Amino acid sequence: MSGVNNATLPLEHFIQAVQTQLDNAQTAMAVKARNLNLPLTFAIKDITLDLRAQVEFTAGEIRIRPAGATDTQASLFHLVFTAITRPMIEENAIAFAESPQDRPIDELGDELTDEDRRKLEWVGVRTVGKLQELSAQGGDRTVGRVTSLPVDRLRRALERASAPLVEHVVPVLNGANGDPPLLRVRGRNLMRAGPPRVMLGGEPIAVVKASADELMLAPAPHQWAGELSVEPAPMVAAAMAFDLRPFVPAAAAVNGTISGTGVTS
Amino acid sequence: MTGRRSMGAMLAEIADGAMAAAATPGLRTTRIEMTLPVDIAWIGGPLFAELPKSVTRTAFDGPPSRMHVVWEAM
Repeated sequence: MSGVNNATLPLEHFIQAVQTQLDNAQTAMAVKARNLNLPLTFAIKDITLDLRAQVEFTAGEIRIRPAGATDTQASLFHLVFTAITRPMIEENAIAFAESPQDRPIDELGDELTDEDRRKLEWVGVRTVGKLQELSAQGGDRTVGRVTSLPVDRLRRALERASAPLVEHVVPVLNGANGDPPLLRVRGRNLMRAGPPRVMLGGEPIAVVKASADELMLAPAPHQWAGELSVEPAPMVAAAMAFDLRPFVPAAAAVNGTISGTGVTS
Repeated sequence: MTGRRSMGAMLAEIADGAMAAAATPGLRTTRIEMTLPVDIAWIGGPLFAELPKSVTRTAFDGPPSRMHVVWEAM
């Protein structure tokens, strides 16, 4: 038994560590059965651990340290893990169902450490969207309390995650239908409460359709190149330079003047 | 702590041995149940668990924990 390190760690982390090891054991058995072309005939059904450990209760958290050689009066933790069936897994998986557009919590970058992210995942916050939803409902304090993460740090991470980003601008040419050509802007957080303010080289550009991850713009004939700026809320903007002049339909070129500032970045 | 296996590796190996022992001609095993002493080492991160190396405990060995595991035929 390890008695070298006297630091205690949260009990929930221990339980997670056991769960991971049980998954690993099951996977190892499955891989072996597959490699040897054998049917997997057995699976771990239950596992009970009587763990001798030192226990502390600090700041609302149960912390443990496996007993060392000198810990003769260590407590005994009786932990029982039971396998659950596939329908039970699927039933639980529905609660965690994530849309393909959802960004994983990892994308919060340096604002949160790996440890912070693990804590959030443990309480079921696996996507940036889920964290934003909780925050909007005032649940960030609760998450902060449950995970022991400082609320300020959570909010900073959220602010960063809510920043708009323009990923690309592509032309949508509807020549056959006679509809005017459009520009499709892909990104994220492009819209908040209402349609965003969109400017091209300092001039407004018509917004035909807007959602958080896509904008459809109706450019004037001279608005096929330049620096596009999307402002979903005051003082919050994302910009991108583009040049799509080679895609300007002939009709638009004839009817208007084409000019642009060109791409600088 | 060095040289100890992760709990997953230890469990997989025990399962392997148990399955092999149970594979007796003319006998169909449906459930294997074991209770074993284990030395658990954990300082965060992966959980190491190993069967005690010797029968006799010394003053350098901590009290062993106990693991009861059940495998069932699928």
